[in-house]
Amino acid sequence: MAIVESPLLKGISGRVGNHVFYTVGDKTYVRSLPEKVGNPRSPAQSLQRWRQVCVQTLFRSVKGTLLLAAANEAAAQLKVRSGYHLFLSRNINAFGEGDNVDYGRLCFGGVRLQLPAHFACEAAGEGCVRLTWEAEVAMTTAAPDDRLLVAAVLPEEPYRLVMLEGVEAQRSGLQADVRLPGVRGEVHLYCLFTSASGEAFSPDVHFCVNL
Amino acid sequence: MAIFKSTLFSSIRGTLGNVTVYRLGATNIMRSNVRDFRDAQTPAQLKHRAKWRMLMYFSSGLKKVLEQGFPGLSARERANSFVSANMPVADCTDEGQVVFDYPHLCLSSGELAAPDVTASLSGVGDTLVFSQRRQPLKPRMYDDDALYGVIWMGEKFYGWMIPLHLRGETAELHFPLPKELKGHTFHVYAFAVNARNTQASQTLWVGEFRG
Repeated sequence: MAIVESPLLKGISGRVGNHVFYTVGDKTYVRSLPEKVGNPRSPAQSLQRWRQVCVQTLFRSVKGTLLLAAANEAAAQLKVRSGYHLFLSRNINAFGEGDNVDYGRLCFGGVRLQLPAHFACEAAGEGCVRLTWEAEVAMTTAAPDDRLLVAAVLPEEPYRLVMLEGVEAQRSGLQADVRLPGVRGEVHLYCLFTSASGEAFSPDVHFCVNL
Repeated sequence: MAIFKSTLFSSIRGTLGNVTVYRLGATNIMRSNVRDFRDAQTPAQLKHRAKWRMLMYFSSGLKKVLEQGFPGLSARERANSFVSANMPVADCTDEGQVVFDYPHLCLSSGELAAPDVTASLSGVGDTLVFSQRRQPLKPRMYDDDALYGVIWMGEKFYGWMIPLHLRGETAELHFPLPKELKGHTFHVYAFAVNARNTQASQTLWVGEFRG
C-alpha cells in the first residue's frame, strides 16, 4: 500500500490494471490487487463476520433517529471517519454467537454533554418505570433545558432500537416517567441528554428492567 | 491444460488448430482439443442426463424468477446454479421418467432468512391469497427485503412470479389465477431478496394447490 501525494491524482478512486486507488478521509491510497484471496473460515473469523452482520442490523434501526446524530457528533469530536464507523467499532464486540447480545456493552451517546450524577431507574407501577437523577450546577455541558432521550430494545425485537416517544423531560426536572404499555419481559433502556438545539449529546446510560 | 498470463493476449479466445484458448473469470486458460470421447450409455449416465435435461427445461420456464432468486449472477451462472442446487431434488425412474420432490425445489439461494408467507385458495377457487406476516428485524432478516411469490406448474414448465409486500409488513395479496392453471396442480413458493438486489433467501415451499 502506498499513499498518493500528487495533487493531480488527489481523490482518484477505482481500479487501474492490478492497482486500486481509494480515498479515506483526506488521504488517497493505492494498493495492488491480491494474488490470491484467502478465506480461512476459522471459528474466530466466522464469529467476527457474524458480529459484523449483527451490528449492521442494529445500525439499520438507528438510521434516521437522533442516535445517529449523537454518533456523528461523537465521531466529529473523536476524529473518527463517520458516525457509522464509530457505531460499528463501539458496538461490534457486544455481539456473540447466535442471538447472544451483551446489551450492557452497547453504546449510543455523544461526548459533548455530561450525564447527571446518580442517574437511576426504578419500577413505577404496571408498564411504567421512573428515571431519576440529581441536580447539578448549570454549565455549558449541563444546561437546565437539556432534553432527555430514551431508546429501548424490546423483548420481541432484540435487534431493533426504538426511540420512545412521549418522554417529555428536561435536565432540570430531575425525573421522568417512561410508559411501556403492553410490554412484557426484559427491556433495555438507553438514556441520554441532548441540548435544546439538538446539536450536542451526552453519553448514554443503560438500564435493564423486567416488566 | 495451461494457465497463461500475457499482456498482449490477455483477452484472446477461440480455437487455433488443436488448441482452444478461453477465459474463466480473470484467468486465461489454454487446452488441447478432445480428439475422441466416450459416450457412456450406462443407466446411471442416462438417468443423470434425463434429470439435467428436465432441469434445463425448468430453468428456461423460470427465467424471470431466477433473475431475482439468484441475484448477481449472469444468465448462464443462474441456470447452472439452479441445476446444481436442484439435482438432488430430482430423481429418475428406471423407465426414464424424472420425478421431482417439489417441496424441496430451490428457486432461490442465499443467506437471507426465509419469509413468513402462507397461501390459500379463495372461496370460489379462482384467486390465490398470499398472506405474509411481519418478521422482526434480525440479522439476515431486514424490514426492506422484497418478498416474491412463485406459482410453478411443473407439467407445463411454466411459472408466474408475483411481487408481494416488504418483509416488514403484515399484508395480504390477492392473485387471480390464470386460466392456464384451471384443472391443473401447481406448487406455490416464496422467497426474499434484499433491497439492493444482491442477496436472496432460501426458498419456502408454501403448498400444493389445484386450480
